[in-house]
Amino acid sequence: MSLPAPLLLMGGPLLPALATAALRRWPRLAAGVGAACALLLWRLTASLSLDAASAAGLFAGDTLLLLGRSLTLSEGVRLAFALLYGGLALLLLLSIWLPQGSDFTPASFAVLSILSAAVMARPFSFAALLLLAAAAVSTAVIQANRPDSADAALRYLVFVALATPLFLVASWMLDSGQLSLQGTVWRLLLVGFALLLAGFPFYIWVRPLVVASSSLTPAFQFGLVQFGQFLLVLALLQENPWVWGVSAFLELLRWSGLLTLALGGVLALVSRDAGHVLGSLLLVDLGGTLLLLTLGATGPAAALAAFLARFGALLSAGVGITVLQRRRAQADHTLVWWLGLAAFVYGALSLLGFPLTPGFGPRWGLVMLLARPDSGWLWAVGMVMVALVAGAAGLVKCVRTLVEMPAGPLQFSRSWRDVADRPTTIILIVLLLGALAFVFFPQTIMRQAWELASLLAPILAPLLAPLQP
Amino acid sequence: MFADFPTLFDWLARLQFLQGFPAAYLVLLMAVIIVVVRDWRLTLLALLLLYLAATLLFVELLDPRLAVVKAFTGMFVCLILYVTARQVNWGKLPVDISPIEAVQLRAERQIRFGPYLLPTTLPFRLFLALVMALVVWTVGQQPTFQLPAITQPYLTLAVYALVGMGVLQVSLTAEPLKAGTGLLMFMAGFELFYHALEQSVLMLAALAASNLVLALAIAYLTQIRHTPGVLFD
Repeated sequence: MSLPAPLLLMGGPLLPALATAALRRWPRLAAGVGAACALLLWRLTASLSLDAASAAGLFAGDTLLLLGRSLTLSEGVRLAFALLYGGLALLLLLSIWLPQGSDFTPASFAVLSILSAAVMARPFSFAALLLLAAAAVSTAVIQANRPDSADAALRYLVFVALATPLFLVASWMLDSGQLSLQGTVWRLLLVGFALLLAGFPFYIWVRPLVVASSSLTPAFQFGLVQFGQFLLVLALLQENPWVWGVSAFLELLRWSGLLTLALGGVLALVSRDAGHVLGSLLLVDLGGTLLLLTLGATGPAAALAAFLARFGALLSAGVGITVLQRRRAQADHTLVWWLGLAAFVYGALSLLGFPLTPGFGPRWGLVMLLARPDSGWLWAVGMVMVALVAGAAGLVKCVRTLVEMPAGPLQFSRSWRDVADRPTTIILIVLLLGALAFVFFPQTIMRQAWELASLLAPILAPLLAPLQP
Repeated sequence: MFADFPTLFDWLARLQFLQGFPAAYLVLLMAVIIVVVRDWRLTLLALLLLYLAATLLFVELLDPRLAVVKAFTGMFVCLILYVTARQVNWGKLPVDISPIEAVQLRAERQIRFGPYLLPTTLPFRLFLALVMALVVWTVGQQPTFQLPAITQPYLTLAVYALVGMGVLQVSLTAEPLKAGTGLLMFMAGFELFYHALEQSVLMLAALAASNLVLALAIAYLTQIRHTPGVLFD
């Protein structure tokens, strides 16, 4: 007898969540067990067959009936969640070395479980409530036993809670099928998307979250969780294609993205420390992703690629910041300190979309799409460029401060054993080489993003087919 | 012994004098108290009364046997927050920690008002709450701002009061329990509106579960915010 495949995505993470909750006194052990479970979930999800007739495994069939409602797992969602579990495995492997908050591991599994239910649930009203539940559990991931991180977690919860009623009412209106309500629906969805995806003017929770939470939390929250939320946004737009056709909706969302991007650049320029610079550069990336969503058929595919690149960038920058903080008290800049700085700078540059970083592809895509003669937003390319230059200037200022602050240059007169502890050096070098590998083989990201976009939004598939890398 | 115990419908008949505008005014008054008062005990008591008054308004939109779920949900939410508040000493410093040790929890500045000591922020919060109450009152009277699917003006007033005061409360404080009560008020106001559109039992249960999950998240963050390790940070 086989079980419906959605059960794997919803119930699968709950078992490791319970197991690692029992181990929360030993964060490294919990992270190790969690990483193994996430790898197993990734393997199971990647090899899952949605065809009930031909499946030989334990899980088969794409629909689960729960309380009279159907949860349907599509091929796109399956592929997306395989990526999410792969990402979670990587995060948890790193958190063996850099222990996060005591609830990080169990809560992260619980969040992905609820998020998968939200993406699969129909009608959307239930999906909206599940998003709220996922945000409530996310507070356990965000808090890092510090007062400011509890405040940041609360702020995030407030913004998702404010978005939930908008989605609920919009969903009710969509289900009622009255054409006269379309004008209200797109307005509700516009504000809801801006709240959920941190578009202007609802971006104020982003920087406190990056600054106050533990080092790998931004990668989880803005790389994995927001990727899941973006899947839901895409599904909503896919099932209501008329929204794509409302020019005012696209225009206002585009403005929201552009202003977020511009503000990110300005805030990076005036930021005083590495955490605030990273938060500001993340705003640049978030704004860019919102802009991409509105830019024709290829935009959403590039936005998905931006999510994948963002996860890597935040991972690298988070590890870098932790290494810098750990080595802050040392008298000299050791090799590990420099590698940490390199990881931070590389992640930050990737968020900006500099050449030779994974973030370059999506950012170049954004500039090209804006520069098309038919877009009518050619002038916005200049604004994007100014924001990127401002962000880069903020980063340079921050790096100069970091380099000048603690002590003198690397002491090569000492033996390597003194200046570098081997595991940290190896992990940082592997991380940097891995990031560089994505630069030289960008198709690994772009192909996944294109495949996902054509699976998640079949409406775009005919337009994407000739462009597939 | 319990044969004469009043049923739900008996209770509703006894409380008929509160239905309609009195319940809406009670909701508005409790919302103002939650915004103005800093004492957690008074806040939670006001929240409980607010939920009970709101239930009288839900009766206008839902079957009374379903509307009573809202009262029970509200009571459970208040219970969760009450237990949390007690565990963290009502937001005050534990007796064995001195104000100098607790970097993160400074005593609020107070001013003397006759025989009473009042927080310095009280006049500001009172002013904002009264302005918001005035806005809610004015907007609630305007036909152009009548909410769709809601015919009774007192329901419109209650929805605006809960949503407006909830957002005001969330924006005035970063303290998880206080801001959390604002979030719960906001959700209660929205539910009052939403049940005029949608009356399904499944959605009622889902919204009740969402409230409980929100209350648990607020309780969790309150606990984290007030653990001694965090106070020393």
